[in-house]
Amino acid sequence: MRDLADLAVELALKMGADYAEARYHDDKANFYVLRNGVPEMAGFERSRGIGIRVLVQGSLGFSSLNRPDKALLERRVKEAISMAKASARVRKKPIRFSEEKAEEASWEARAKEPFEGVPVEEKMELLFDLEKVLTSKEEVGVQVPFRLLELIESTTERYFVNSEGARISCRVPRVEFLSIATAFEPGKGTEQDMVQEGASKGWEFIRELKPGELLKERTRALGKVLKEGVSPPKGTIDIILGSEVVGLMVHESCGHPYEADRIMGREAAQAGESFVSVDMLGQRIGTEVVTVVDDPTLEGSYGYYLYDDEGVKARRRYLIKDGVINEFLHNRETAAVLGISSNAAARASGFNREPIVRMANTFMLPGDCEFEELIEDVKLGVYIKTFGEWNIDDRRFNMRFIGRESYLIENGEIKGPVRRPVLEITTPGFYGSIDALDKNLAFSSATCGKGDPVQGVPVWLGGPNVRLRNVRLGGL
Amino acid sequence: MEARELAELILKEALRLGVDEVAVEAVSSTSRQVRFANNEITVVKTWDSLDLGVYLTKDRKVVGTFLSNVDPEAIKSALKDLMSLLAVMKERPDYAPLPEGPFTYEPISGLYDKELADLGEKAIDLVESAVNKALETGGKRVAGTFAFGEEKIILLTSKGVEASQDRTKAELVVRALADGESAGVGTTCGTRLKDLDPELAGEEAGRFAKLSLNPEPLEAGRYDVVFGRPASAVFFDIVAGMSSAFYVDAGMSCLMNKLGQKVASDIVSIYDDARLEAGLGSRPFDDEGLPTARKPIIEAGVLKTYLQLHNGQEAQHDLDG
Repeated sequence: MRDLADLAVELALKMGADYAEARYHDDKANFYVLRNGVPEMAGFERSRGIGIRVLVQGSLGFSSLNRPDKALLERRVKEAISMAKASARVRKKPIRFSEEKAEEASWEARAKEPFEGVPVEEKMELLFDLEKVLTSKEEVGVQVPFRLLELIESTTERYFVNSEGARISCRVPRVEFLSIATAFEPGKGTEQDMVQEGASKGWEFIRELKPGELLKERTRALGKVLKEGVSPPKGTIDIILGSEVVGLMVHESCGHPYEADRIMGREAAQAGESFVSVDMLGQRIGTEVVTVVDDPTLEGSYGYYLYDDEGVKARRRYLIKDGVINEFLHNRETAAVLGISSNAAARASGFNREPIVRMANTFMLPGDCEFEELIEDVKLGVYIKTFGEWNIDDRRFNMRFIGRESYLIENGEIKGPVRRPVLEITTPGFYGSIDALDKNLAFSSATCGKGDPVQGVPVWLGGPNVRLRNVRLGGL
Repeated sequence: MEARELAELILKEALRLGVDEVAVEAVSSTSRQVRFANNEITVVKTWDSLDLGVYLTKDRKVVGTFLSNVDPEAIKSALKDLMSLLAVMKERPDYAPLPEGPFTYEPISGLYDKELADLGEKAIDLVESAVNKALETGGKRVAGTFAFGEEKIILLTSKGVEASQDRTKAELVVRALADGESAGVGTTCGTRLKDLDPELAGEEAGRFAKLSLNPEPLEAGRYDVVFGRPASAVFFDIVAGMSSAFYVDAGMSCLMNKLGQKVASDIVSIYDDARLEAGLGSRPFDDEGLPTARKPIIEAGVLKTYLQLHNGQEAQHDLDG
């Protein structure tokens, strides 16, 4: 079927396309799930097919098929071209693609211990062991009446070819661990914690992660907040945000609004738009200690790739550099609008999805101080280590979130837990209040959704612990 | 191999591998989508796909999935993988055997429209008329999606079910922006071309975008509120979702332990109607091959049913009351 990708490009050019590309994907995924101790079949994917994109008279056409049928392929290429031509009259400005080098490459993410070699029984056994941890009050110190445990392993094999001579093959195995635990304490109600950790690696990632210890620690902390948490202090105070919270913040309030397709209005009816405009490049949005990057090239990361799904070589993108808006995430279409090169942010979740502008691994660069130095001169503050609920508007300007594992800080010392502190802040307010970052960079994984039909792509989000000065905190 | 042959292959191969029951649903579809933003068409897409839904049971254990790799060897290999997953599953407390077929299915009218299936480039005209109307009525920038297509479903089960259905469907969503934040949405959908009114969707989006300009703050308090159709449809969808046995069993439904009780005012009735003429979700048979029906969820404010995943669950819940 891979040969059909080459043929699709050849046919498209013959039929009058100005540009053509084809992607062949062969994807496999297995989900192992325990819900309250009962194994469930939550996902099992076997898909293979070709996605074709053509640019004709300044209009874009996309077509996909999963049957290895030459006659069908010819019909679909023909239709992509004719529909693109027909839509040209409802365009004032023709779509162009940025000039890019035609790359020829083959790359892969290596699994030291391929998960195909680990017996299904061993994977389920791990989940049953974790179930024992979560149901043992001795281990976690609290009742956990609702438990969801998931192991997800996937492999994507892709071949990209375009009419400019690019040819790129890749193979990426990914593995993710996910857990949702709801703790209950009579008279106190419930608190829920979600853990998501993933990587472009093999089974060795799960062994290194030690999920049993992780769950024990997280759930114990959850129980403590539930049982002992007091109301947070109100008013204007200093706040320390943990890596997990910072990761979410930069993904939602920097990564998404810096997606150039949102900025240019292409996602107005779906994901939304952005409070950021093209003329804000070079403007200050945060303090000088703030640098946010999106980097697909981190080896082993969940959002790892070396070439994007338009065949452009990946690199680290500095979205905010020293507090200044530095660059946006681009594909070839949005880059051409600004007359620049793409920074390789085009990703497609499967063969049957068009590549659109996406994040990969978005994180705030760490500072050089110790965690203790962040809190030593905080007279009254709150350390919000993990988050619960989260909201942000579709232009990514106003956000609100509720802390989960959180502690009071008094006179430079961490005290007892506080329950459900609420932070309502604007995006510039957040980046403009950060005055220090520690050196402890950490990541968590997520599947970021965007597009119509929706495309979920694996990403990392991360950062160090950061300190915000004089921020208004709310809560019960 | 075509859809029917692949479905038969799965049925035969799964039984050979030792399962107790098999259901296979082969869905062949051609779907199209015209996306637009900033009053321009941004991309036109066509998906040609054949997806194979597979449901297997053995010793009251269950696995199910959709396969999109339709190579016969890949299918056989996937079935072997499913068998190894089946081996580590546990008995499902809510297991119910597949219904014994064959069944007779009463046809539902209006589910397939050749005019819509053959729409082709005329789709561009419909989008253009929606965009123009939204601009005329107050939108400055218009974005949205027009999705339409056809599909053929073939269902075979090891209990003698053989069923098929052709369907067409279309949905147009228009979002008009009168400035950065003031937006209105209009929609039109149906299984037949004649059901669609792109101009009305455009007009609705443009009109509400204009109405939402210069919003004034509203004091918190008690008001009479009118929910528009899109807002109330979402609300009813959530309530209908809460009536699913899945959420009720998981303890995640606000309708838990409310069967037969008053849960809404007298004028509220909500139905899940799989037999609605020209309904987007209508089907003469469900995924197990049972003939479908119109089910009351709430009637005159009283909760009547929990929607079941499997035919056998119905009895269990009835016994539970």
